[in-house]
Amino acid sequence: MSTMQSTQTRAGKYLTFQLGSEGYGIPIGKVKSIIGYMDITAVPRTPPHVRGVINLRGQVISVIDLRSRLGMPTTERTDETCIVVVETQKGSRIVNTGLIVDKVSEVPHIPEDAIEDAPEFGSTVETQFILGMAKINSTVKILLDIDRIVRTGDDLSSENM
Amino acid sequence: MQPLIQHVEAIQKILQQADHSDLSRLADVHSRFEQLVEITSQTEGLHQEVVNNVSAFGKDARTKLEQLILNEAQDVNAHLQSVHQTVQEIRKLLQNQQQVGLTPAPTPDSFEQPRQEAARSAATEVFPESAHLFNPDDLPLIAEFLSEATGHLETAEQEILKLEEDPGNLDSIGALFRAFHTIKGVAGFLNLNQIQSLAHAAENLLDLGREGKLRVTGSASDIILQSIDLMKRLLAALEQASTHRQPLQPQPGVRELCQRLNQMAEKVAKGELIEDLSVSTERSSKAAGSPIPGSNGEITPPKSPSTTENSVKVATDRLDSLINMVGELVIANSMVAQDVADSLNTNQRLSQHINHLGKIVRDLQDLSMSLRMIPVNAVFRKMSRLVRDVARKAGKEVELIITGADTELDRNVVEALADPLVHMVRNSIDHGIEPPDQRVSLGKPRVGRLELKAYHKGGNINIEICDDGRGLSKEKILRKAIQNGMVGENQTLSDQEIYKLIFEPGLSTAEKVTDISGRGVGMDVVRKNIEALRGRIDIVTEPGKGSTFIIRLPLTLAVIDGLVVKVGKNKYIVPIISIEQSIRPTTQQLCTVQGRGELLNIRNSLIPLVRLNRLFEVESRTDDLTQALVVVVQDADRRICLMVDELLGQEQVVIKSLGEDMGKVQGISGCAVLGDGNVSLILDIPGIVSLAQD
Repeated sequence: MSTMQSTQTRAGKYLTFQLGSEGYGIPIGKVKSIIGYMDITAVPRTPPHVRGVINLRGQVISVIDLRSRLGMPTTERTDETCIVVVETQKGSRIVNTGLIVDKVSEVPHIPEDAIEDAPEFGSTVETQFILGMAKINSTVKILLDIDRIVRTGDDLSSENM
Repeated sequence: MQPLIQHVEAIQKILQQADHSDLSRLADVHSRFEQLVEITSQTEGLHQEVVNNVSAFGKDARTKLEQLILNEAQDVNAHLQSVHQTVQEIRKLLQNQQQVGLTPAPTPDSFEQPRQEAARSAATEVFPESAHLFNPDDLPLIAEFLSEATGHLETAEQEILKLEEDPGNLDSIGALFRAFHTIKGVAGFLNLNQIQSLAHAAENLLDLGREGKLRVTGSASDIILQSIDLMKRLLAALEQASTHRQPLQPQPGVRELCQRLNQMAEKVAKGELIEDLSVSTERSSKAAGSPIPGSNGEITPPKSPSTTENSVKVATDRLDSLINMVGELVIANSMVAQDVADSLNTNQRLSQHINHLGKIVRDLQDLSMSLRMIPVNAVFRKMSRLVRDVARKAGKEVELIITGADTELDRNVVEALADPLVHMVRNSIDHGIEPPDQRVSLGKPRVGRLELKAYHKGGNINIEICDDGRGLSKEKILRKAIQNGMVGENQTLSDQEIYKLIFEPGLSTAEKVTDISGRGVGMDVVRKNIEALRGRIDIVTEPGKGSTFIIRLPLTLAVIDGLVVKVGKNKYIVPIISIEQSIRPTTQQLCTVQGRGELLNIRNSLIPLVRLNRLFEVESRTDDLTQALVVVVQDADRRICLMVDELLGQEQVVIKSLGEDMGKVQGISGCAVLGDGNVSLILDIPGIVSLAQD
């Protein structure tokens, strides 16, 4: 009974990936699959970071460009560009969403003591999507709050309406 | 012994309220398990084996609870469920102990217990309306019972309506009796006291019908219908309670109705009621408006022998995923076929086999689509009861004629059709059909006619609701619309436009607001529902002669015929149903308004031009109108021209939603996976028309 914890820890396994020179991580439990880049059907009248929809084994899911979601410049796609499919909760349903990343790296276990809170940058850097900063062997991984990234603004399409 | 069982019951109660995220309750249960093991080991006279078992169970449950609390469980629900089962096991173990009296040295406690048990069960018999807690083991049985009982009640309702036309039909009485009898049996087995006693009382009365002592018409059929209604409420309460794992609350009115059923049965048994019944038979069947064939008690043979189909019940989500998979199979197959066709060294045998496979896959797709189809009868059947009730309430005499009930429609469409039909049938009876005396003075037959028709027409299903009542009054609708400010005083409207006003919110021409209709809500909902099914509704009416509402519906919600068009690299699907024509325009046809708004002059009508590339902000091959094509589409009476690069051909596509988190995108109604495996967007023509107008 004494081991009962009231808050969820940030420690655990993370899928890490690169956006440019920066390393990022998302909790592995949220990742459903990693697929190669494929043609994306653009959907009109959606925010710029929503790249469109793809056919994931018969199910149509929307795809977000993670770079543009985080306010970074977009790049040409390479052979290593891939789509990370994440599962998030929307109401009572589980929703799959694809995230375009430059390349996936590895799946390390990150202990709690290696994680710090996101620093304050004032208004220059948006930190609302950051869960924390993890230090692994002298590199830094930015841990993302995937639910906020996918879910902020509720419907993707309604943000710029 | 008794404190032990109470302890276990307490654990069970807490568990039933807890869910996997409810840490404080789980922790409470955890410590109670610890206490339980302690008490067990201290209770005197218990078999050592029992003590060991309880302690093993307790340990198991505690481990599982710890995992739940620490969020280490893979499947939390299954985990919680298994804790439930463990408690159940312990309870059984202890109860067996005390009932069978396996304890070597019976304590005073265990002598006490059986008597208390007996007292408790006696109490439930005396007070059948006390709250009832479910045994978790019974839940699957209850779910099954619910679906079966609902089916039985539907049959019962159907049979009662048949009996009103043909009171002596022993087959119908038999079917009615069996419906209640089966419900009673299972309810008794599941300890559902209220349902059991109601079914029992109804069954008793109907048994007299089987013996020929009672004719199930008039007041008898009224009371049976009331029983069916109350039974439905009981089932709804049961469903509510069992899905939320709450104790079943007793519903009011059961005892009263049972008493009335019993009184009637007694009277009939004494032969007091037969006279009275035949009188009310006369009255009621007239009121319900059906002619009474051979009403002097002759037994007429049943009109249609009831056909029982061999069928299997399948959960709809399984069915849907099967259909999804078949859709994917079709795509995968066509991709393979394409590859084979493209490869240079064509292998005769291979392409033969591919063709054969293609044929099988297409058959499979057709078959899987047909799985979703059910006869429209499922919803028409409900209407006969409604017509009877509404006609009685409104003091009208109405005869319902149903044709084409075998016509098949997508299951979802049939279900979504129920509400609009209810509104329209009510309206027809309440507003359309005149009171009997008025009808006679107008030279019409005393009994009004209401027809429900379903038939195929041009790839669509049409459903008609047709009455021979007073018809829609143009003047009244227009006056009301002007009153409500929906139409300007001097506006001129075509007849169709005026009739369509009744689908606007807030317009009711009923002079008095009854509890049946006339509040001005309803018809706008009807139209919305029909449009949500991608259907449309038209009105044909003639004052004094009656009105007909025609609902046109697509065969299925899942598939549409679409024209694939291309704009730049993008492919879009235009639903064929909204396409009027497609042309290659000339510069002479184009005219602009104030340099911006563009119109095309097509056969002397000016139609607004929408350049899809600009609307959707995508690159197109050309901006030159004469190099492009336009597709003229229409929504209701509005038309627009869509400018696209080229037409790629017609295709039947399976509609999918645009991803769960995409929400509603204006101008796009959904998407489909094309033969190449890519997603293509389906244009929402009404949405684009309104976009173009903004």
